[in-house]
Amino acid sequence: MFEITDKPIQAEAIIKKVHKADCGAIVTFWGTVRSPSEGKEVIYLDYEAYAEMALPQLEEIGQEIKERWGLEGVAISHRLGRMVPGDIAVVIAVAAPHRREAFQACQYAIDRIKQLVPIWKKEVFGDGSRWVEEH
Amino acid sequence: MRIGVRFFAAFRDVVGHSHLELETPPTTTVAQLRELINRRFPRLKDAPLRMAVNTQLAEPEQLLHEGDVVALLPPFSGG
Repeated sequence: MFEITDKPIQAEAIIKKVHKADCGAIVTFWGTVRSPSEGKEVIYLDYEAYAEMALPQLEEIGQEIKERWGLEGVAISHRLGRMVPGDIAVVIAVAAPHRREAFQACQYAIDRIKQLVPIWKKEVFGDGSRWVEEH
Repeated sequence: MRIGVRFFAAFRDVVGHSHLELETPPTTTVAQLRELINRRFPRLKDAPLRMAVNTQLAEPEQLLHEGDVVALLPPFSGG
C-alpha cells in the first residue's frame, strides 16, 4: 500500500495493512520533523511533491523489495504540506516471516525514498528558509 | 514543438512559475532543452538537477516529442 497524503498519517492503520499470519516480524520507520536543524530552530517545514511521479516511484520501491527479499507486505505513507517539529512526515511498515529481512527491507525503503522519490522539503527558520539539499 | 516544463521547489522560486510552455525546434533533446532553459534562466545554469520526461527520469540524449511534459527536479529531500 503506497500513498501520498496531506493529512496526518494513521500509523496503526498502515501496520494493520501489512500484517499477515505467516509474518513473525513487522518493522516500522517513522520520519519525524526535527528541530534544531543545522543549529537553527525550525519553525515549520513545507513538503511538496511531483505527485504524478512520486507515487509510481513509491510503488517501484515496493517492487524492488518484493524482488530482492520476496516480501509483499510493504506500506509507505508520505505526508505533504506544512508540518511542525514532532510531526510525522513518513511511515514505512515492512512485514516478513523473520526479523532480519524486515529490518533490512525497511532500511532499504527509507534509503531509496531519499534517492528516488521527487519530494522536497523547505525548512523555515525565524530568519529565513532553505530548500534542503542533502539526504 | 511545444514542450511543457514543470519547476519544483527551489527552481520554482527562481523561475517564478510552477510550469511554462516552451517552443523548441522540431528535434530537441533533453540536453538541448536544458540549454534553452539555462539561457532563459541563467541562475539555473549550474544547479544540480535531474530531468524527467512524462514522469520518467530521462537521459540527456533522449529526443523530445510534441506535448511532452519535462520536469526539472532539484535534489530530492523526501523521507
